[in-house]
Amino acid sequence: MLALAPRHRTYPVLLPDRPASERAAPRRARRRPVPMALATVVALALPAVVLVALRTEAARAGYAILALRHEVETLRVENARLQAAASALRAPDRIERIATVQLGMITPRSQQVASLPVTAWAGAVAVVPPPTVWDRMAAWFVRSEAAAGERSP
Amino acid sequence: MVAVLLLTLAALVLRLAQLQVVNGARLQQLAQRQQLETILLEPHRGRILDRQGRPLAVNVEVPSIYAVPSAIPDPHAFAVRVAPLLGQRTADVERRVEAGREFAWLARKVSPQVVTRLRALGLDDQLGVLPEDRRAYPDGLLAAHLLGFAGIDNQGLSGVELAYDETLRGTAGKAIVARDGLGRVLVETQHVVPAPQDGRDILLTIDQVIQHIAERELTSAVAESGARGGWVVVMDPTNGEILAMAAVPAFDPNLVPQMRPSRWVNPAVSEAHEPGSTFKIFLMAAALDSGAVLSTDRFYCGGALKAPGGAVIRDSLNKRHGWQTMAEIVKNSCNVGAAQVGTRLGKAEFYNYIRAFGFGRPVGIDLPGESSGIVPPPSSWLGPGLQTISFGQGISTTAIQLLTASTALVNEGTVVRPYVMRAQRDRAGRLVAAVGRQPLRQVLKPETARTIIQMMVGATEGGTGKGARVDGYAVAGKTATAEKPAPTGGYDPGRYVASFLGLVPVPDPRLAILVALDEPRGAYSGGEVAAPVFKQIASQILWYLRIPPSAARSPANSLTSSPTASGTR
Repeated sequence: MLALAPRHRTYPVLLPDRPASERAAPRRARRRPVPMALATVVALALPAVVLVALRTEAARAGYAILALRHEVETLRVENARLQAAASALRAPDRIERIATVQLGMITPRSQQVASLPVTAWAGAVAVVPPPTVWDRMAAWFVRSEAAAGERSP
Repeated sequence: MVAVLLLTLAALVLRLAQLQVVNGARLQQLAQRQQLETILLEPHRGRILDRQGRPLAVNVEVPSIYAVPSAIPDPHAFAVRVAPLLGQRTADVERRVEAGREFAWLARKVSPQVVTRLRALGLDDQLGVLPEDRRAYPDGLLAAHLLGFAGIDNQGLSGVELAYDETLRGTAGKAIVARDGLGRVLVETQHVVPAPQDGRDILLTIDQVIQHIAERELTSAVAESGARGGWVVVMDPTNGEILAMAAVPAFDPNLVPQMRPSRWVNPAVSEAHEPGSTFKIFLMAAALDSGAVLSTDRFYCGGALKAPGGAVIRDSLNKRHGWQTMAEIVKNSCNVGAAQVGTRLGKAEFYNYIRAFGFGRPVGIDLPGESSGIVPPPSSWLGPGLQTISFGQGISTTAIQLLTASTALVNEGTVVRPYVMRAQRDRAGRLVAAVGRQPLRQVLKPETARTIIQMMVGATEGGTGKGARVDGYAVAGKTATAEKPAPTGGYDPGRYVASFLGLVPVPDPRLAILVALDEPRGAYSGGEVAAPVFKQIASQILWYLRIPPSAARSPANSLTSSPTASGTR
């Protein structure tokens, strides 16, 4: 009995597996190419934008500090000038000149200066009694430091 | 196409590597040099304040003008326009511009009006204005000799300004900064190394009011007596603090360039004169303390005394005082008696005491230019040297030496060092240094000091110093009328230094005051012209300091005799 030999034969070939990425990437690229690109751009650009913004803010703050420094210096100079002017106005020579020339005052003679005895009551320092327990309690309740130092009537 | 792109990229990478790696360090340095700038941060000079904190020397910011020579095409034309506004000669301005390259000072510390006029010329690229500190003395002439003054670069040149220049000046700092396109400093790039340290404020022992009193009374006395000048020093003898130091003629430290340098000299510290009869109190102190003479010993004054070398020592107006105790010698200011006491004391002993009191060497006050005075060694005391030195001729002392020596009488025999700087404060107002009483040495026994003070009280109660009596207070004092040496040798009979050294109130003196008038005309004795000035100054200062009157005073002079006054301590 004759049989026809098969015209095609199939030989099994052991091929290496394709990496999953190669298989999947085209599918994904095909699925969402634009958003991926945008996301990449944003991811790369965002730190740069933040960096520039921070730098700009720092420069702005620097100029503000510079302006404040100038203002402080201007005020310091003005203060020094005013202090010098005030000192000149308070000069004893000037005050005496105004007193004697403009106001007609005179330097007192020795008989016109009295040295008064200091009495005991005038020199005594008023003694403040320490707060009582009741005062301290009241202070504790109202939580006032001032109240603790005041005597109850 | 791809190959070209790759080659281009490769070339760029290589260039990048060359710039960043190969030449990186050098280029970075170059860039920094172009972008960064080192700024000198000048410190502010410390202020000088009186003992109550009232400012005596402060800083005021004023503009200074500079030129940018590289931007000036025609220096001559520039100078012709600018010089008149600066009050300078055209040639001077032109010379300065030609000498510089990027910077040349034209005028330092000018008025704002000058800047306004210069700006009106429209030479903004050729001229610049820098703010600088200028020293200002708001009280003008007050304490000018003591304060001194600072120069154009704020460096101390005289007085306290010079003595404490290092403390007042502070230290400069530096900052490295980058500038933007408009030339503004980029603060975030600023790096300060090191920070500037402002000068410290100095608190003096001087009291502005006491100083004013001293100057006013001295000026008045100089005018009335027709003297060439004068000086007054007020000291707290218990601790050596100088409360006032006045000199006439004075000068305005704000206008120093217009003053003659001879005016700047502080006579109380830098000029030595023969002390005259005030020296007798130190002779008496030495004689009593050494035991060479007892306070009960008596000496005869016949109006003249033959001294070694054939010289004759005479008293003023050839007055004959007769037999005198030591207290009477002081009271009468007797030269003949003093010469005898000196003879009894002896050269070596007297010299040792003179040196111990601090004569013949600087007392160490914290002011520049202190004179040592002249105290020749005993081997040079030829002829009547010992006798003349006994009444203050043949040696020279400064006012501050006399006052310092007098502190021994107040402090149980101990001399204390005089000083004018009381404390130092930093810019934040914190106290960083303070000075107190500085005892130098024990010169006298305490009982000797007390005895001498009583002798001096006698001189003001009934002696030559009567004009110094202050109502309500016991004054210990001594007059002096010293002849001035003639340029040709010997003494000039028409030229005197009249002075008075006083301590008040006795028994616990709070003030030591020395008044001196240089070459008064008409009345010229210390008792006539200097003692009344002491009285005026002392009485006002005692009122000002609220020092109550002493109990022990004669009724005629007591405040209690006045119907409007009452009360004593």
